[in-house]
Amino acid sequence: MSLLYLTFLLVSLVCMGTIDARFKLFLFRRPRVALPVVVAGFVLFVVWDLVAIATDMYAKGESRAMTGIDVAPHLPIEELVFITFLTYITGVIHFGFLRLLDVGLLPRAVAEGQGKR
Amino acid sequence: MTYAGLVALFLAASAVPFVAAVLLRRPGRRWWAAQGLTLLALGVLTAVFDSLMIAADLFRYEESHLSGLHVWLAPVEDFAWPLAAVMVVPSLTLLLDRTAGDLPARSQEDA
Repeated sequence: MSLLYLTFLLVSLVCMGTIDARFKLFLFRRPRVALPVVVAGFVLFVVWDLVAIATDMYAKGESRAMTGIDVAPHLPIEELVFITFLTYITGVIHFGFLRLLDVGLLPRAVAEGQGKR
Repeated sequence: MTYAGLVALFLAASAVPFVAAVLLRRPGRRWWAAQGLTLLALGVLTAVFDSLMIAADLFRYEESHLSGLHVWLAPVEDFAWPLAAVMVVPSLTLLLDRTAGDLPARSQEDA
């Protein structure tokens, strides 16, 4: 029983949230849209995991860095936090890049097409 | 069925909001640029952190169901996760909020 992996995930999640809050990128920019989107991504990846577990393709490892709390066979509680993190970081990175393109912090070649909508 | 077969099913499902967003919202080139950059960034993060997670034995795959191709320790099949996330998250956001592909806050914040 260890909180190591769970702590890693939660700290990463909080750091991501801090960046999001500072720059108002995703959840802190349009919460009523971003929240259901994160939920939808969460559902997709949980179902993906459950099917992979049910078909014996994917299994929990024996790392001692986990709490040992499983929400379903082979589905540790940490995996739920990981899935939330993956979905959240995808939104933050996408809108982070949109912002960088907007403020001209990316090379002209990448930002090309600016305003051609 | 191999894991790749399962992956194909979930990628097909993930493509639904993506195709819908592209057809209905017709996002501009900067949205596509952000998508490409996001996929690249998540791909690199997956190569690094999926490998670390496998090295730490946080999870395992039944090797006989895998293609055997790896990037460091990460099975190529695992790169379907960032791909699915990139197809689903920004696309659903764009479908729910048509301004989500527009220029972000600068015009409002600087005004």
